Amino acid sequence: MSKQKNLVVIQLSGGNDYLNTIVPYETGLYYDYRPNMGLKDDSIIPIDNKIAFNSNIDFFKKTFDDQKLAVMMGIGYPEPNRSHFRSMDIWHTAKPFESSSIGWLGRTVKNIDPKGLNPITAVNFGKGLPRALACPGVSVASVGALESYGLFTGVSGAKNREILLDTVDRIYQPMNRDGVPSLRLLETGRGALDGADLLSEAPSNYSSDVEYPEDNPIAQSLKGIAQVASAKLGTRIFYAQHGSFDTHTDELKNHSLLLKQLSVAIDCFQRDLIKQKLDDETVIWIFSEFGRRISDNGTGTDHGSGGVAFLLGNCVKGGLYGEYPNLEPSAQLEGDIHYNMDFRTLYSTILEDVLDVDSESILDEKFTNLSVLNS
Amino acid sequence: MVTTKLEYSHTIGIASFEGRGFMNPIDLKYKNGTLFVLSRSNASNKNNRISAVTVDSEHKYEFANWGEDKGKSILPTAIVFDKNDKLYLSDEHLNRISIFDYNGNFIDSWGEYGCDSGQLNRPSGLAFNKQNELFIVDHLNSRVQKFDEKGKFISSFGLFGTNEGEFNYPWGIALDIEENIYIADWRNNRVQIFDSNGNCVKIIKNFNDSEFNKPSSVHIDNRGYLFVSNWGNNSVIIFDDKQNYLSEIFGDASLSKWCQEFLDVNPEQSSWRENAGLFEEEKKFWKPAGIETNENLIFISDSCRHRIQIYRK
Amino acid sequence: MITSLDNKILLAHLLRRAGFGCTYDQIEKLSLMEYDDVVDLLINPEYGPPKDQDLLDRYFIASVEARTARHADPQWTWRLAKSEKQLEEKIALFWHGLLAVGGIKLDHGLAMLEEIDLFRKYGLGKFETLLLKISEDPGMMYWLDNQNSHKDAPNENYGRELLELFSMGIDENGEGSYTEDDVKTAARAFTGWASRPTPPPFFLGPFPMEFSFDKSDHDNTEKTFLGEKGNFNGNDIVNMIATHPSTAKFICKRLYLYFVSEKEDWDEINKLSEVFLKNNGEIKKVLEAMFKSEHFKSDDIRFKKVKSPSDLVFGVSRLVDKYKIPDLDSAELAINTLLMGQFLMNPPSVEGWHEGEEWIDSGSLIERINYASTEISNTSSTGVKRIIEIIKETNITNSNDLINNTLETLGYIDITDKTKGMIEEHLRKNKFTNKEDKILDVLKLIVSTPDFQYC
Repeated sequence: MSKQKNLVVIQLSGGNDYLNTIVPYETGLYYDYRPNMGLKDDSIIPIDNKIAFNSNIDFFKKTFDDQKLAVMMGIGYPEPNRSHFRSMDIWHTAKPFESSSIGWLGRTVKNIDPKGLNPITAVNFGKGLPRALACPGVSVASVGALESYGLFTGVSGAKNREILLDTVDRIYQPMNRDGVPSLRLLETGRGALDGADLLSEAPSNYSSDVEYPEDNPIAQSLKGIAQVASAKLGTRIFYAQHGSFDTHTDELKNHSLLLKQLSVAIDCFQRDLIKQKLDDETVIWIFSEFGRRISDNGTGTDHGSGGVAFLLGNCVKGGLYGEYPNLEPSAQLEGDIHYNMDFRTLYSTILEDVLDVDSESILDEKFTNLSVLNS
Repeated sequence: MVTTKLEYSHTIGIASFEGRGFMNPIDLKYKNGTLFVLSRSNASNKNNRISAVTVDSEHKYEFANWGEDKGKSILPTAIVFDKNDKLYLSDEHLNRISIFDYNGNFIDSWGEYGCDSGQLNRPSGLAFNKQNELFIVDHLNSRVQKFDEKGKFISSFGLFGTNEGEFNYPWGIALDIEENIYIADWRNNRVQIFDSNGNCVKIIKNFNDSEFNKPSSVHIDNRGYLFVSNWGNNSVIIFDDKQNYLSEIFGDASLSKWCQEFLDVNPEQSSWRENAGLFEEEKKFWKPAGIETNENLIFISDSCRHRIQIYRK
Repeated sequence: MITSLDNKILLAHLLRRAGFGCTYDQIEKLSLMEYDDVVDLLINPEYGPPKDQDLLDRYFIASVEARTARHADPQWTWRLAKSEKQLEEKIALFWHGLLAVGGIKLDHGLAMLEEIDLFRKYGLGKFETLLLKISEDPGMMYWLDNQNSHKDAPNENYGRELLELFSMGIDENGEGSYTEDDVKTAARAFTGWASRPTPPPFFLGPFPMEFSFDKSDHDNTEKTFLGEKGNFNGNDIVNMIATHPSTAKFICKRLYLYFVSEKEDWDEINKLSEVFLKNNGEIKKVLEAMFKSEHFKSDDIRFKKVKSPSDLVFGVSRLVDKYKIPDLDSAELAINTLLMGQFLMNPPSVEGWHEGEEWIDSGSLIERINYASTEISNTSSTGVKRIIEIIKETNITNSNDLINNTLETLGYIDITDKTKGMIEEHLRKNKFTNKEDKILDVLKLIVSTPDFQYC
């Protein structure tokens, strides 16, 4: 039996520009539509004679050559919505046609750990819980910085924090039969405290010679993930965000920087996973809520639809999946590329082949498996 | 009486979180062919900055973005150039004055919170006199303080109240050629004029049988004409050099070059706009704030519509 | 005859439920009045903008043209944290959760602020008026697709939610006292009611939304609704359902769950719906009966309801009396409720929020404890200084006195003996360099207890 796998989600918030991430450099239309920001020459690394990686994600090219990177081309959902909010909700809830407040990964956590025995089955790095992880009755730890994670973080003085924690730890003993405070609340408190203990101790048992750049926020999040993963606390889903990719202006500068940070961060993370002997069981999934307009607006691009997603890891069957969308005016959707891969086919593949969960019970529908993972 | 109708020229700007465009522009200054626009933004989005643009909608550079570090700003309120082309910026959250060169390079900053002489409690409007002394409307201290260019306190006048010479949340400031000091006494719904020693010489409460409603900004042009942003009523009022009322304008904006470009690449947004058909509404000022003039033009920062409306003198 | 201490305890309870709570000094002042007179004061607020509206607009100009809910935050949170008309804000929050319009689709801060103000203005009056006003609310019309509802192709969304979620309700079996045909009729009666199109906000900021009625798109034919025949329009539908006995029950149940207890007590709810029917659906009369009832004041009710994130955040910010004038911190208050699971002006669905124990999961509990313990120990806040001063003034000889005095100072709050024992042990076990540090530890611990999550 193969090892249990874990999922690392990297959300590119704000709408990553697909056309300048995977560049159709042999398509004249691309340069017609992008007079101010068409990428060429040193700015691209060809994949084949049609498309190229943005040169800032050189590590992607390397893993692609190692056949560990799958590129999902033209991924999206029906009836595109160009509001960040709504579009991200659709990705988070896996419900393109209705509004829902329950996240698909939240439902997955409930499926993996129905009794909520492990408060850190899923860990989110960053303030505030993405809706993808929201589900009634599911606890997800949201971590700013691991070292300072937990209670009384706003209280000054380490000594004071310690004695307060000690007392609060004893107050939250779930021993009330009925009445107030309820058993459920006390158990929740217990879970929060235990989870906080486990998470804040993770860095002390971790050692690595990989140096994640200090000024690279996504690298720092991935470092935290490596620390928690190496502690083997039963966490199956890690969530991190990178952005903002909402590049209406100054795109050439901003998009390049963001992609460079991402590439460097994943490079560090992959090397670290090898050191921690976690490289076989970790799958990274990278997505964004939408791509951007085919035409540039002078200095940037506006909200579009359809985009690109990546799966990366030792157990990933690398390669290009799906077709690069056609840029011909007749093939466009209101000035955007036409999506040609339903994002839920990728979800069902992740559920089945990474998280070992019945995909239909989460997505309420059966989708074809993309067969992108080695079993 | 001179002409009462101002001739509209054009508009620059588009709502944008960074780069080309503005986010709640509340003050602006024209210097050596470049317009410096101060975007206020909001607490959570943190898109405040100073943008350097041309009158022909060319975005040149930006600086003084969100942050507490030197050269950054949190809640910026006003900008002004001294006689050496240095740009001064007031910040009412940090209670700090920051100084930049013309290219946006940070030079220095000073200021501390408090109510003693020289201390600040939410500095707003800024103005220089010919001796290169800086006047700061220290608005929660209900006074106007005078500093030298290095930030050394010189003098102050004013206290809280509604009587002559007193202030109630004052905001903008301007000096005329004789160095009389004009203050937008915001919550008192009036403009007060002081001599250079801080003695109140005149109060304007009315214009054309109307009363001011929370005037936010005052500006004097090279003819001595007085411009007042009637913030609470979304209009700008113009007086001649004797403070005789000339006209009141409510906005005439057309689509800026940047807005037109946006609509061109986003045709469905353009069709929503056509469908709504609120073209008259689109023209109007919404919370006009800082006003500036050059030889030929009048610039009005239209803070809730993220643009500068430009008129001919 | 109630003793004055009992009166203070009850007033503190009343203000936590009909509002977000009071400081010790505010309770002292209120206790010069009879309990029933305080209820009368609460249910009769004078509608109007706050006196510092101009300051909010000046300091937070982006909230004047609020393009999203987050942009609108500084406006509402200031009133939640500061308004003296506490019930006006609390009832607005109630209707915001019941007649819910969500940001998923309508991310329009201006429209949301308009709607919250509509709830302030009509939320304590006749339910029929409120229902009519919300049916004419452009944000609501947009949110529930009524602009896509046409004479020859009615969209049932608004008609359905109006009956099911906003008025008559359904029982546990999903049955209502109306039929599918009534839903269809309601939808037909509301055809032509819509929001006027506005330009997109991305280049000039948002434009205020406006209601519009298109007579030519309105189904002007005879209909049957709840067994009656007539050429009904939206007003008639609202009129027919607003004081229907099912509506009385449904609304009173929701008011009871929000203000009194998460456990439905049908004897009490039935009493309230009688009041509702007798007074033509006047909400303030229902609340008056509710707050003045012995049931509301009883030990079964006090400290048995889980605080919502708003109860916690605005309760604590009022207790510590932090804000004198709008500032960056007050403008960002809503981030705290958001992290605890309540995104103000963006309820998760048309059903609003699930109240009660569902508020608390391990992530939100950590946020609650961290927020409350940080604020209650921030000695630069006026309220914290005053709390410490009051406790220092009282005659304290032992840890038990100190804890009890602190609980009283925080608004006569109750915690279990077990919890109290743990705090006492904390004081016994640890050394404190001065009295203030000791008081601060008691404060931090009290607001961190499971007990403090209840009001």
